[in-house]
Amino acid sequence: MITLTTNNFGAGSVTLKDYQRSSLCVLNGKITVDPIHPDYITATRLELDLPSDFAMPRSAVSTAILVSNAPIYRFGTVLHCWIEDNKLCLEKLTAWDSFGFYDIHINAAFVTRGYRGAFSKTPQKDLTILNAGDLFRFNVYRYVETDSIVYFIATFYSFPTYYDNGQGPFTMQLSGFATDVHVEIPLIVNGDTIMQQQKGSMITIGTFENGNLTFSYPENGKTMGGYNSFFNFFAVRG
Amino acid sequence: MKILPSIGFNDFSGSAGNVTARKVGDKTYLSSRTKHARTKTPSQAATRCRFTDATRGYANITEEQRQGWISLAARLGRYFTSSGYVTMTGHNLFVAINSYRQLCGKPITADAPPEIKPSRYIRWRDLWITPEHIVFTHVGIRQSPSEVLLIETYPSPSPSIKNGWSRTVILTVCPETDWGDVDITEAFIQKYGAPLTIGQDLYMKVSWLDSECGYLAEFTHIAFPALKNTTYSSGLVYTPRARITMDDIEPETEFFVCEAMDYELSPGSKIASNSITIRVMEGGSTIDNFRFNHHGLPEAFYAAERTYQYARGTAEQRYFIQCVYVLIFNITSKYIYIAWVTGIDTVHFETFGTYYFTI
Repeated sequence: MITLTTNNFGAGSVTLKDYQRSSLCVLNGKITVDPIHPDYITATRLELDLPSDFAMPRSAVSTAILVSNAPIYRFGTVLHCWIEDNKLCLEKLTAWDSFGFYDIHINAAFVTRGYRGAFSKTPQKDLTILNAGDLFRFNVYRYVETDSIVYFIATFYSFPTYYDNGQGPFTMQLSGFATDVHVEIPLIVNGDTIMQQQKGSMITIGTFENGNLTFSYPENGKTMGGYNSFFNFFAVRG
Repeated sequence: MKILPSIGFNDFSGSAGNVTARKVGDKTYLSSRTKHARTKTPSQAATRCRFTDATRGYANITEEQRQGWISLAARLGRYFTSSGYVTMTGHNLFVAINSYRQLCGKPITADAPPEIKPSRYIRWRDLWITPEHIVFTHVGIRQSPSEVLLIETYPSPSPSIKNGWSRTVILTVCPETDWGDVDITEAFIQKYGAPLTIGQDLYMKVSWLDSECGYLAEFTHIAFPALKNTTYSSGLVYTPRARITMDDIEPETEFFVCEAMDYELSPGSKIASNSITIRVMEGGSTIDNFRFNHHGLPEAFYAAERTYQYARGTAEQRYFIQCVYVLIFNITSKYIYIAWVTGIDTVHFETFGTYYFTI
């Protein structure tokens, strides 16, 4: 774990789970942003100071997910996130500021560039959904597991919908997924419907623990879930 | 009729025709006057222009400012230029510093800098000097945002020239490195009109120069003959980075345009960091496979491999999120697919981030 105590947008300390190497870092955690804080209002981008001994002072572009406080659907989007001059930097988007405090979830890898050596193929591992059926069926997934980190992207033929299956909670039981990963991730769960004036996609938060994914939908989240749902994240093991 | 004073006497100092006499102590020295050739290349013209501007600038500063330069020059003693040590005067220092500032795109400063930040040596790990590439790697990180890389070169036209250091001229100023890489191939060919030939000696002076201060002090001397392909230091054959840019693709098709393309592989095993922007034109489908031909990519892209990644609609597209894949063919076929997988598709989106590169 690393604790980021100073930033330029008036937030308190932030603790992130970390994997650090000079050429690859993975960070997991959540940052809460107050859009009416004077420091936030004047900031052009969000910056959090990394520990002085952080292994990577600069990275290529990565991602974070903004999850707003918009009623029910918590609309949000993907943000640019990168490391620069030993700071964790985030793009500032104000589209959902009127809904008050919002969260930024970071479950991402950071790499450097300029490599000219040889590459090997990325080893992938198979997963099985133990409770596959009407609720869960993969369309596409890729799962990479190393001793220290995992990477998982999944899209679905079947995924619970609020309309058919209610609020949940739902659990996708997996065989093969590392049981020592405990991470909270945003799930993109916009159904077929796009609401008028909607900005961003519908999001709910899921948790991977003991190799399984658990999540639920908010009350009245009528158009959430279904085969358009997906997630994409890196996580630190242990 | 112009009456010229005679210079045939001992106590005379001055010029007549192309001969200049100057008296130092008891001795009078005669020298021929140097005139620069009237031929002007664009870079010669720019250099003379900078020098003239800086020289004229000194005449326009206040006495107090002038004293500041004189005082600073006295503290520095001698000034090290690319052609050796010269005696420092306030005027010399003003012209030198402001010439380099102008070279770096900064305006002339009338005030002497309160603090001198001398240029410093560079480090590098690999260096290819070949007809096709003049590339440094791992040049390191600048110490401040105002630092730039100043590169002077002299490609020796003959092996009989054993010392080209006094003949180097400014090739380019690099505002920053590209992840430690400094590729001066294009700048070299643009300046000299032709690539190096194998065996041709290349003299280079390279330094990190503070563009605000403009004080050239130390620089790294590098002189090697051009090789066929191997690097100086590790002996590696030139290997391009596993990277795709707009220059590598045909970005426009009938129904969609790739507005930005920056894709690169990093080790571990293969992880791609990238940023790609796609616009779907009228008549195009947002859930199409957006296919762009490329001109051939580095061998690291050897098979049909891909990244699955987040994509985000532009502000006009209300920031909707979708999942796309970027699939790269580089063996028999030469194209890149960007394809919608799921989520809310839009006509104008950016996909970016860092993801594993998998089959």
